[in-house]
Amino acid sequence: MAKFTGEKIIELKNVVKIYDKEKAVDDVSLSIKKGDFVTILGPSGCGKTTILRMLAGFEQPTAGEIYLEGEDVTSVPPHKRNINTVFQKYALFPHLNVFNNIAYGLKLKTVPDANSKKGYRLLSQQEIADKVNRALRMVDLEAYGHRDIDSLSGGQQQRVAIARAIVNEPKVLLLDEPLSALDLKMRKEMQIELRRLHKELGITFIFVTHDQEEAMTMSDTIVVMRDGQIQQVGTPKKIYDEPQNAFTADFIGESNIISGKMIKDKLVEFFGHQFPCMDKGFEPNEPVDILIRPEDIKINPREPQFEGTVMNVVFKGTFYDITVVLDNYELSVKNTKAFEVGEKIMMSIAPDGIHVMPKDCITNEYKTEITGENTISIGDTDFEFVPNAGETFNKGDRVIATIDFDKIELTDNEDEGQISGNITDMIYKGKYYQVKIWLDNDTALIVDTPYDWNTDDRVGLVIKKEDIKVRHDEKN
Amino acid sequence: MKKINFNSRSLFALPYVIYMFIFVVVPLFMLFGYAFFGEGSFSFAEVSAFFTDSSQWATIGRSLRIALTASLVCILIGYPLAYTISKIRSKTAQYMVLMALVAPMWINGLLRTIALKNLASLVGIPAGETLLTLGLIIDYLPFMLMPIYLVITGIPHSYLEVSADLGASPMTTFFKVVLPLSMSGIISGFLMVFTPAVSTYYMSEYLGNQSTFMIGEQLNIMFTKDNKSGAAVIALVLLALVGLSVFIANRLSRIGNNKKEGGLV
Repeated sequence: MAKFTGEKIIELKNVVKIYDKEKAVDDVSLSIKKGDFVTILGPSGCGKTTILRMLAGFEQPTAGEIYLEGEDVTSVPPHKRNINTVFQKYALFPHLNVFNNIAYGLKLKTVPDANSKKGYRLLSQQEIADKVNRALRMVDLEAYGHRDIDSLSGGQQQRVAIARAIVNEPKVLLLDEPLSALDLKMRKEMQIELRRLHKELGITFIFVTHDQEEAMTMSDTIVVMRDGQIQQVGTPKKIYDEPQNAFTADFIGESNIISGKMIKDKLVEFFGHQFPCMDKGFEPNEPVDILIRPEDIKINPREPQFEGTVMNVVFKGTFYDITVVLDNYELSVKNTKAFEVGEKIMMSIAPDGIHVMPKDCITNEYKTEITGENTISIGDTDFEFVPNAGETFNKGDRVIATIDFDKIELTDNEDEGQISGNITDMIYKGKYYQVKIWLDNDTALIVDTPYDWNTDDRVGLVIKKEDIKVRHDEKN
Repeated sequence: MKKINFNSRSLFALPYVIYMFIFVVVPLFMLFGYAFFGEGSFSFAEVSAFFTDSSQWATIGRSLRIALTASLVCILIGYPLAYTISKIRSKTAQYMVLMALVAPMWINGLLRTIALKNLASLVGIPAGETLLTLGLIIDYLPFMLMPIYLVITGIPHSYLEVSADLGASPMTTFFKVVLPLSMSGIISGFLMVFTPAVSTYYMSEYLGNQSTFMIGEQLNIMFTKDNKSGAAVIALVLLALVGLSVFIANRLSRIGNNKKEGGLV
């Protein structure tokens, strides 16, 4: 079937979804081209499934609109939308066999019929059987129509779930992490299968996953999400080569992310050296994040730029994964040649191998209020601070507290901290880890820490009073 | 023959096997003994006496009719009730409502029956088939409610979403997904109501009259007359009736579920 590129099939306009005061989806606008294979990619809890459920009609957006072929479907119930979904756990009806599961939607469908008084009719038994058998053929389950659902393997159940959705010839097929329950081999097979189905059917596929490799191999377009917001939309190649921020870079493929600063256009400084790069448009000396893919670092080149020591070498079949150390930074490098551990090597990075990204933020700006004499509330706990000379604060004043990322200490034992929270994101920045911690009152702090934590770890936080800078929040 | 391996885990079943032997197998043999060897030697006398007596047939028929009516009304009340409760948003509220409906069972059954009889006479309902059926319904409704409620709440929400996704309105979803999937709850609820209702004794004694004479009362009469053989025959007939209803119910639940395995009791 021909692909109608350029035509929008789905449009989300400023969609917001709030559950229990928490923003699951935060002002998302997105348009999807007809016939595209779009993947919404992000870690768990980023809002990707919520978007899918709003497209299917199971959830109503708190604000914003959803358009299907230019028509506002925001409040149309799921059974009246020409969209079908393949669910994560398949949800095949246990009381129906394979054939009847697939025929479920067809038996409810009406088609226009001039001979009928009502102007429409149900599909005939024969029509249903033909369509079901065609769908079964498409997913390679021709002989399975009479089988019970629980006599099928996971992969077969998955195929039935797909057949049950595509048999209705929807305008859009939604797939909610449909491969996550399969083993690796099965998953690879189904990835190819889904690609083939997408080509054959010409339907728009919207696929949700947290698996970046799956997203890379299958999609025409990837939408990267985090904390309910879209981080970046683009082709897999564009997202890999030009990630917009450290989060996307870290989430897509292997990467080294290093803090540095932009000296001027096309010149960036990190590792204590200056490197020519392709990026421009930053402020002079602006702090930035630098992404370097492991395969973009050349070892012992003709024009070396910096030196490091090999710390670890792992053979990966077609290349070596080499860990290099230079003044406390740890760098991951891919090379086809092996090097000895302890060996000193020279390295260089071509200007197009350096990707400069603006930092999300460079310090915590925590909005809160004054709770007493020189105390503010952070995560429902009072913290002392040292006020700037000459500034006065009264109880109840709205203020912004500035705390540098590296001025917050994390403790294993949450009781040792003044407050505690859960680690939700972690990015390795070559020398330290940057983690995001959600406090118990649903506010977040970013912390730079030398230690390797796990996401979902519960930690205590200690902040010294002299490290908390407070100013009035002018907006309030 | 395979030797019993006493190291195997089946050894844990031994107390249960002994229990079953003493309290199920032995009494069953005793029943057969009393029914067929009442006068010392094997005879069909008691059995044929029972089955040739047309009044006994009438009693069986009456018992079946009353128990069946009560069970069906229980389904008609219990299903919508269970469904409505399962749709209450808060789980706590669901449990509170269930508790309120089940709480009367904490009161002694005989007391409840006598109370009902007094209440009925206050509002002018005479003892008879209507009151007896009503009593059975009130008494056994929780037995219908619970299995249906459990089955309905056990239906994964995703099935309802899939159904809607495939174009079914909430009404169609109910008839094509919820009802077929809660069939097993209806069947086991039916058995839990029908089985005690068909053999009830004190209910028909207090709430019925001469024209509602049930097989449980017949059994009582046999015992008071010390007619062990006659009582054994009735016990066997009751056993057969219950066995038959379980068998039919299991067949029905198999049809309802379109599956090879089925049956809950």
